[in-house]
Amino acid sequence: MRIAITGLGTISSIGNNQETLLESLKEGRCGIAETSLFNPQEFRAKTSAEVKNYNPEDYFTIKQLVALDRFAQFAIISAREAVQDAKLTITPENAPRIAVIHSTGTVGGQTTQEHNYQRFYEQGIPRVHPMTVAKIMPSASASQISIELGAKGPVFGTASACASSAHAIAMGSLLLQSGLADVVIAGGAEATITPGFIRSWEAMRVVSQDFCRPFSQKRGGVVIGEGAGTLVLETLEHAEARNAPIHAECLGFGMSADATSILQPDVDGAMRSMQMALDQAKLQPDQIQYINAHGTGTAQNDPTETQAIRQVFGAAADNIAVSSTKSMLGHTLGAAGAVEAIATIQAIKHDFAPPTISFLAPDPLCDLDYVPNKARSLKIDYALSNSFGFGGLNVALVFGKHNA
Amino acid sequence: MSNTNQAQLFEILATVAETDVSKVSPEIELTDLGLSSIDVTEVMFEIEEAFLVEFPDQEDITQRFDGLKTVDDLLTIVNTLVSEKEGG
Repeated sequence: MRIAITGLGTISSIGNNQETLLESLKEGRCGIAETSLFNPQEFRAKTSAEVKNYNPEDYFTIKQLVALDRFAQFAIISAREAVQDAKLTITPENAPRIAVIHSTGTVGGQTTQEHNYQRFYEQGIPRVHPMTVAKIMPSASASQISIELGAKGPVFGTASACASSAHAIAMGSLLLQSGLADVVIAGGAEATITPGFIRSWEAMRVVSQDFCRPFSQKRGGVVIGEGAGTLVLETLEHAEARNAPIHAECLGFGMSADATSILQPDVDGAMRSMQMALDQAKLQPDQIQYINAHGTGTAQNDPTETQAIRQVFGAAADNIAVSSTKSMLGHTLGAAGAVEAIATIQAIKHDFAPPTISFLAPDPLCDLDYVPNKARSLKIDYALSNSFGFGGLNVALVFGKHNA
Repeated sequence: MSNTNQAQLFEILATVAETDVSKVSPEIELTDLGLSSIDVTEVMFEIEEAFLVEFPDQEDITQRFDGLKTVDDLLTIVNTLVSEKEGG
């Protein structure tokens, strides 16, 4: 069964909508700057990729905001844009056939949780707002999207750390293939630029002190980002029947687990997910022109992912543009799979390879074409997007031009 | 002072490596204790907790850890951090 991508929506550090994201990817804009959501002076990690010029009241009423953590706000904003982009009207008739799979890679309402813990434990304030649980729960984003849009089919989130929203897209494809839904609103959201959360990442000693430089020499690690991405997936038949705009097709997905380490990535698991995705898409390695890498910018991920790509693609690997848009977006964790799938689809639709910015010099352990610092015009019919979560949870997604 | 540091460090290493403290000696290499890079991160945390010191930023650590092989090498770093703390 062919699956069409008919709607895209996003909010991130390099654009609060699709159009701006596309411009930023073409121009290689960097969303990373000194953290402003809290005072980072006492932190090793002083930078992050925050959503810019964001005023929640431009999007929501005061009454709505009482029950919405920042991550769920981002989720709704991206879902609204995606559904509008898909020209999808949800009615009482089609609502039960419309699913939402929207994920976070963390607890979800991290901002709300930290704020309440601070009040309760540190300030000794005994009262907690009655909407606290509703704001924190990791499925709040999926529920709030279904409420906002009136989608009444299967609604849930998938949890697999930094692969969470890539799993959402894969599971969305499965829901369509199984006939359980006609349309799936799939994606992820994250808003965890908070003192407690950043400290936890610092403790792993994988966080950069300035920029994110995937695959580059002197890369210092991850920069935490925030935002959301949502895709509207539907069967090609359903999309064509309602004359929907078709951005691209989701041709295959691979899901695997390393079953080795809770933190350390593994070549074999990554490799198997990419191979499964290619097999399902019925594509040969030399048919892929672009890979949106997981590319976190850590010492561990980048050589491991490079080796996995080399093993799957063999000699063809040298002809593939491989870039990490985390250099611009930061690592949006549970949103990353969806936001990067959107970047990949934009690359296919507009025939260009987004760059890996902040790239200083090649690392001998990373020897592919990473599109350093400047975007490149490139005819792309087929592309792959990788997402590898902590705990060894891997997803690779293959997208292609509509009727390529 | 240094002997106390040594005893405490041996305890930390034995716990993280899930081995008996008698197996830890100054000459033994950290990898021979079965410590992975993630384990070493955990050891660093336990050292910071026990000695109330702070390892310097990531780049420095990588540099220091490049030359770090044995338990004695690590003890030297701990002693330096502790005396820097007491001196400051």
